[in-house]
Amino acid sequence: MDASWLVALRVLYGLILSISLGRFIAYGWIERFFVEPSFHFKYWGFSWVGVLPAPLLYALFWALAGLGLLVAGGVCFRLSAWLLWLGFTYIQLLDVATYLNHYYLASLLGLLLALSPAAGRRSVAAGWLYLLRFQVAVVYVYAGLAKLHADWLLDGQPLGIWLSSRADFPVLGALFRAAAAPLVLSWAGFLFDSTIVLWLSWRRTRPYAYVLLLVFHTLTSLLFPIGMFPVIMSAAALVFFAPDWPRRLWDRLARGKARPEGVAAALPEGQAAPTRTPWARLVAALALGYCALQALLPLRFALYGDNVRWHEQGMRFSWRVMVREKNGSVTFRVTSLPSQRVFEVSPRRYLTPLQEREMAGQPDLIVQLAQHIRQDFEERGLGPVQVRADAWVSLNGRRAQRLIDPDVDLARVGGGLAPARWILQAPAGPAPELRRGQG
Amino acid sequence: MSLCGSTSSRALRLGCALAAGSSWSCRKPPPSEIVFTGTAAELPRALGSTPAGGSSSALPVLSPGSVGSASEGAAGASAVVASPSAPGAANGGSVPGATPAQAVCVAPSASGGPFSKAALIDAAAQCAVWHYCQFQVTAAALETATAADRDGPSSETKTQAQQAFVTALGSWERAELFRFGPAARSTEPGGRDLRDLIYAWPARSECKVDEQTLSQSYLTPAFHSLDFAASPVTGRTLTALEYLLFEPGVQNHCSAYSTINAGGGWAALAPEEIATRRRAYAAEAAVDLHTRARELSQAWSPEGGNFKALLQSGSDNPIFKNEQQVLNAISGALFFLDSEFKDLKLATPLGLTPECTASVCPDAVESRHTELSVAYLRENLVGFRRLFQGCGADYTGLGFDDWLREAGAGELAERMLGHLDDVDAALAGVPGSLAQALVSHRELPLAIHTAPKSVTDELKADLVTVLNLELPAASEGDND
Repeated sequence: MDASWLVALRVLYGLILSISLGRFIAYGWIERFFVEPSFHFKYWGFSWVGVLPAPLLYALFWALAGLGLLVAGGVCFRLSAWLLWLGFTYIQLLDVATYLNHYYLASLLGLLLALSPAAGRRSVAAGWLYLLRFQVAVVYVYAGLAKLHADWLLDGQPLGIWLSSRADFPVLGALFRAAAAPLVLSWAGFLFDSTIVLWLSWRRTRPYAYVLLLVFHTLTSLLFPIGMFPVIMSAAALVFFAPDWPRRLWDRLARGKARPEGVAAALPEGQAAPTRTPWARLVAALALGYCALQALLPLRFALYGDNVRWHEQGMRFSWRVMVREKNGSVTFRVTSLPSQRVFEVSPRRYLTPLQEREMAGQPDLIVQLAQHIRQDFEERGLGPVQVRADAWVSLNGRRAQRLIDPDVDLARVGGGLAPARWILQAPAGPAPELRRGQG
Repeated sequence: MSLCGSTSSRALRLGCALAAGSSWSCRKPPPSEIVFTGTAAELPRALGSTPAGGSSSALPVLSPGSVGSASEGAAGASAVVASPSAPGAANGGSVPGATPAQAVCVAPSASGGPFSKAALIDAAAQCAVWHYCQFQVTAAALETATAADRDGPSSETKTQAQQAFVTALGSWERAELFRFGPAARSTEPGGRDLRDLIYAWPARSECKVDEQTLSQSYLTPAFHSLDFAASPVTGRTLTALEYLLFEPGVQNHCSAYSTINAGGGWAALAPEEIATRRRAYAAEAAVDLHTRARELSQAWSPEGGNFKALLQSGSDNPIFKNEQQVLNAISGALFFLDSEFKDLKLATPLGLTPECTASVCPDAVESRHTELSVAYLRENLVGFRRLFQGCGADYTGLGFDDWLREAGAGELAERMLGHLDDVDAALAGVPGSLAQALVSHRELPLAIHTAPKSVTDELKADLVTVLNLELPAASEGDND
């Protein structure tokens, strides 16, 4: 199969990553997200990952931005791609509070590219194309399925909340004030996410679907602070085109020029190169395992029951993009057992505003901080202590209610993957309808 | 029963004394059991606590008409500012006679038109400007009063300087709630750190003031520098002024090992010289304060930074691209009630934070020299209500409560207003000074701490959700 699609993806990926990392440097996010916080939330199984000293961290970001350019240019590709993936993934593991679905996607794409023969070969096994298509499809399909709930489809929330603040948006702002706007746009978003892969996969509808995709992502990037997500998705969705699309595009742009000498003829779309060696079989098996993991991971929320947007167990790595507006207020009550004194501890004491906002709606992060508070108080000689949380959370505009059982000593609960019994039931009833526009 | 006859509150006793037309009496030393043993613990005094020249023991003058219910809180709340059309008149009693602020600053008109975000922004801006103007006038009065005390000291000039200080701080305690734009931290939109140059609290270092009293660095041009390193905020602002105007003794608050004590410099100063230097220092600090107050007002005016115009968002606006960003910045000021009112001003004195190693820490109260902490909390609440409810009389006019109603969350607005009434009631429940109540009736200040939590929980969880607000510092980075 013609490898030009993979080369194009490599170039776009390298450039996008380079720009993403440059934004961290330019906007001061390295300082704010990684250097300033005195405490970092850890991923389960990765608590050993520590934050580098600030000068090294800055150097890492510069180096990774440079590696992105090397990857784009195909220079020392294999080494550059692996280093870029390792470095970028390391950054993602530094603090759960900075988790974003599109960073996760960038990390996955980086891994697949590093493994792939994207250095500039003329041909490539068709399996790589299917693997990348599968990866992109998973994002859209699960993002669509994540919207399959009453808040989104019946109450138009949280889109209604978000649009209420964009009534001054040029041209479309007036439409956002219409009472039906949240519901109409919610359905549009749901239908887009859940069916776009279908339209992109069908040759007849593909060009129109891609134009629609560009319009959709452009609009969302203008309306919401979602950073590089629209760019990444717009670039990644190109894998649905015929594998020789870059070559044909080049030919069209440079009409009259002869095709470069020595170019392998493109194989018909979808035709796989024969792969029968043991190595190829192993690679195919690994690819299938990867696909199975990607297909099953977003479904793990079903094991926990109740509302995943409330308890958040199974929320990450599941492509639940923009499906909840959640804000909360958390105060920790620390009881020093020797003196029976009760302290009221604001998360602000340990967290930056960004971390505090993220923690307030995510129970596992609340537990992490509770256990850090226990450690801190015990180091101050006030221990042993019990740490309880007075946590109130509003989900999609509903009146705030308790997220966590206030009687449970969070300093003693396990932080694993088992269902967390100390998380209280999700709020019942529909999300409230809030008026649009507001001047 | 006459409160004047039975009270043990220092402020109230002196307010009563003033009401009776008496002159200053010597200040009773603070109760020995009141010891702040947290990280901001009072350092051992190197010298005795002999009043300097017998004239520095005066306490704030609270006009009898302003004392209201004869509580410290009511006194401070209403002694400071009044404007006929301002809510101060309707909330805590008005001051007989016009203050200079009344004459100069125009109270914002309470808009009766339909709600719009633009109107809310304008109302908040007008209200902020009005408060800054009022503060500027009180800062000017403080400058005049401290200069008079420096140039011709007497018990009367001392009293007037102290009174001017109480008025200025009370005015600022309301203006504190309008901490957006130039008054805010430089990390926030349009922020210029001006607040910290006016009132550095909770940063305070009486030792720093003592060091600068000895070195007389307040007489150098560097004292007025905007560079915090050249002139630390702990050596200036209202916090330093409070100490300089109200500290009755000639002792210093540095450790015995500090330069001014170990080197013998402080001990070499005669008590009269210490009092003279403190008066001169206070006068310079007041000049600095007035300069900063003027800068803050100018930062909003067309002749200065014209920040008010910058609140008109647009694509060519370097700070705010849309209305929502402006409202994010303004709403961020409401969180004062959580971070400062509840946590800084009350939690530590109440012994609810590990900084307080005893059961309570009266020395950690905000204005420990004037003993008007409760009054200043009430001023904070007045400022909060003016921002949240409206800046007109009886808190009429546009506020965030109107926005909530417009958004269909009227029930939330009413709940929050009800909780604010609870905070008012809790404040009214503390009869004397906060420091005394901490020791004698801890449950009363504890109620002041507990009451605002209902408001702040709803602020952080419900209000920001319904109005889709993002606090500037919390909304950095991308989302998805």
